[in-house]
Amino acid sequence: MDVDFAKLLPLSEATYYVLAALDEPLHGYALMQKVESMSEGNVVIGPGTLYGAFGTLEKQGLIEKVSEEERRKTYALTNKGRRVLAEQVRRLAIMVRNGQFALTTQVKGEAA
Amino acid sequence: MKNAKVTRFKLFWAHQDEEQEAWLRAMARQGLHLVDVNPFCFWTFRRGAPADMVYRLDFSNQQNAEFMQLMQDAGWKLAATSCGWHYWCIPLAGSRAPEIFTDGSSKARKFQRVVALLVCSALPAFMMMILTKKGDLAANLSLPSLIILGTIYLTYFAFLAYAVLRLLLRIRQVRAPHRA
Repeated sequence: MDVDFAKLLPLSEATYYVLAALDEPLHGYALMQKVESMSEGNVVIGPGTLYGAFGTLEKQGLIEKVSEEERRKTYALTNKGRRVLAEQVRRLAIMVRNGQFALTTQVKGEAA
Repeated sequence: MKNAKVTRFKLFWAHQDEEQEAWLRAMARQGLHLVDVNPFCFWTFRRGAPADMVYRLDFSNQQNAEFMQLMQDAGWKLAATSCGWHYWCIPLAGSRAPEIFTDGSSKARKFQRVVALLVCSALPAFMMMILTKKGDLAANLSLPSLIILGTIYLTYFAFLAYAVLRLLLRIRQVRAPHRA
């Protein structure tokens, strides 16, 4: 199965965290809380936005519904979702490396 | 308790969601908590203890049970519903006022649904205006009734055009990434 990364990447910060939080199956509210704590409060996803994101990501085949009880659907990452997340992480790692390099050379430049 | 309920009349345009939210919050601080809104813009409040309640508006044609559950799980209460508008509230805890929508595209989608509904609802009147033979109308109606009919149509379309234009501007505004 080939994944069209060009169409799916880059992920928005919120989408990135939704996928990253789904290393375990979660329902909506648990996911909202997990994203806020794992992003150290930097990313807060509102219920309306999350609900829309679930619909979009399910349509794109990146997540899937694994169970449903009392009007709460539990979602998990699909194989495709995992591959998209992995590709995004690979690109982000390059970005971080470049940013850190730029900052250290700037500091050296100022010191000289 | 006397006068447990208070009714106010106040008009808002569809793009003024933040104005409505601020007004409802100010009312709640005075102890007036929203319980009902009717289509003619009469707002009913229940008198109670003053509280810092944050209000947020959503617009949708149908109420989705799963979404309602998610909102309730997150601590939101549906205070009132009117013409597709849902007035959600949540007590303020901490310094950050909670939001239902936290990115530009989901904020915009709410207003896009309102625009779609307004445009669809105007289609019958618009078609009627185009399909009517203007010559027949002039022959069958007296001048005063023609003027009245024309004024009604013009006023209706002017209001509609203004509402849609302001909504489109609002969509552009919420899509811009700067607002925290």
